[in-house]
Amino acid sequence: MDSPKRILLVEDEFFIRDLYDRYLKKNGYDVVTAIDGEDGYQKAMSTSFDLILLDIMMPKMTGIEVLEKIKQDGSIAKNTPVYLLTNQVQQSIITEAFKLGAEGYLIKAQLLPKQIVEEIKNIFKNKQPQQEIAT
Amino acid sequence: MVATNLKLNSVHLPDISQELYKKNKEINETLAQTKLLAEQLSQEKKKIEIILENIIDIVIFTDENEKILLINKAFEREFELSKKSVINKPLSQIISFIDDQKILSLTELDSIIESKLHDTKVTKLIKISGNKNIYGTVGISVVANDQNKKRTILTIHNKTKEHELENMKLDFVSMAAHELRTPITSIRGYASLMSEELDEHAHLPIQDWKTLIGRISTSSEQLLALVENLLNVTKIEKGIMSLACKVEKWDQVVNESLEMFKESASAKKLILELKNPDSTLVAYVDKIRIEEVLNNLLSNAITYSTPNNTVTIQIKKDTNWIHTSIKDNGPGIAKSAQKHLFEKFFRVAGPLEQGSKGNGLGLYISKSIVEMHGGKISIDSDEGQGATVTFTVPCQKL
Repeated sequence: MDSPKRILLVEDEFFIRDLYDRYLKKNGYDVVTAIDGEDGYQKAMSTSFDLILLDIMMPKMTGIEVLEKIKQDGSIAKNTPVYLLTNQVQQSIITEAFKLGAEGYLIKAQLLPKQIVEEIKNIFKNKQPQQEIAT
Repeated sequence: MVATNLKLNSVHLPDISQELYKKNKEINETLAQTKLLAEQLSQEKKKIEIILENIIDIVIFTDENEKILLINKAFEREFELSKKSVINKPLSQIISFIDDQKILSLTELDSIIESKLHDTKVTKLIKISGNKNIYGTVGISVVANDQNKKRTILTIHNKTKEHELENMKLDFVSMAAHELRTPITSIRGYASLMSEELDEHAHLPIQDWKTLIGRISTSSEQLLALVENLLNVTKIEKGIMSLACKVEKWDQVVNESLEMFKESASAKKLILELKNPDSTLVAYVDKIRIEEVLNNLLSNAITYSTPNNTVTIQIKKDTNWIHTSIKDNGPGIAKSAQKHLFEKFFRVAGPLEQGSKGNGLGLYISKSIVEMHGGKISIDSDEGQGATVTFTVPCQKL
């Protein structure tokens, strides 16, 4: 059997972080959580992951700043797929995230946790996940 | 012959002199009329000049080569440029009309019309970049002179303030939507988790159920508080917020608020410490409103505190006032930002702002409510040293 996929979950809201952590673990993923942008960046740099789920509005470093840094040349996480897991739907921010190398984004308030897990399964199946449309 | 001639002359002289007199009179009348007309014209010119100079809108005349012939005071004021520095210069050297990051020629400007007033075409809102940038609509009329040379009259209606206000409103709506989504995500997520647990007949310990329900409950409280804040701002702005003050046991009011934040404090391993409680203290307040102040201040203190710390609530009394202070151990607030803290929509710049949960309303609302009670609110903070917010409420009817 394959070893479980490793996911870095960067989310500053305790309730939401704990919720997704529970769901991802229940579905067999190896989850590491980070409590803010800085923590997320440090964890992304310390070891390799199969996927990074990144919130945008966070203290210390925003998701956008984390994304910019981890996609730099020479970064250990340069080729790790990054999906934004956010409630920020401002088109300009999403566009910037895609420019910086994000592969997709999921709107937390629009998806139930189990739907997010389904999306993540799809990502690993190399299927194009259904993208949310900004409202 | 001579006699005849003389006679002739004598016959015609009075006629000629009469004619001359008549002509002279006519000329004088015409002169007077011309003078009057010239005076009227000069008065009209003055009127137009006064109108042009005092009109709020910017007015620019250009010649057939798009060189500036004339500008008014509004132009000088809005772009902070003197007449001397722009007359006879090509318009494009002085200002650019920009739509969607593209600089427009006068012909292109003429094509982005929103409406038409007689011979003036009015553009949609665009950016006008000169010595200073402004946002406005531009009116364009083309007039031909006797030599059929086309001159352009441009009027710019400055809408920078409206544009900024509109942007602020849009940012606010987008921010409010984002803030509302966070507790909604929690509520939906935890409700769905509980439902799935039941479907799967999982045997979660009773304590876990309590935790999950507690999270739904806390998130609903956050959602409610946010909606209240949004409504309160509207009430304050419209001047329709009123108070229903009564004598309340201050200890009890504070404790009720503290109770609401137990869950979110323990999630961050924060201790909420109430120093020197005094059950004999009474305040003359609108309990619902003043609880909003306490909730906003406690919510801030918890949000900005680093985990494993203490949020201290201290109550003191002097002759007529109760002073309540809430102290956190967060990153503190720079002195430069402190004076703006209680302004509407103000959020602290820097790392705090980028991730802060605030919407720039809590402190504005708190200040309004405290002042309606006759009290005062202030902040004491040093960067890196946490922040203490203190407010006063009256002990009795003022």
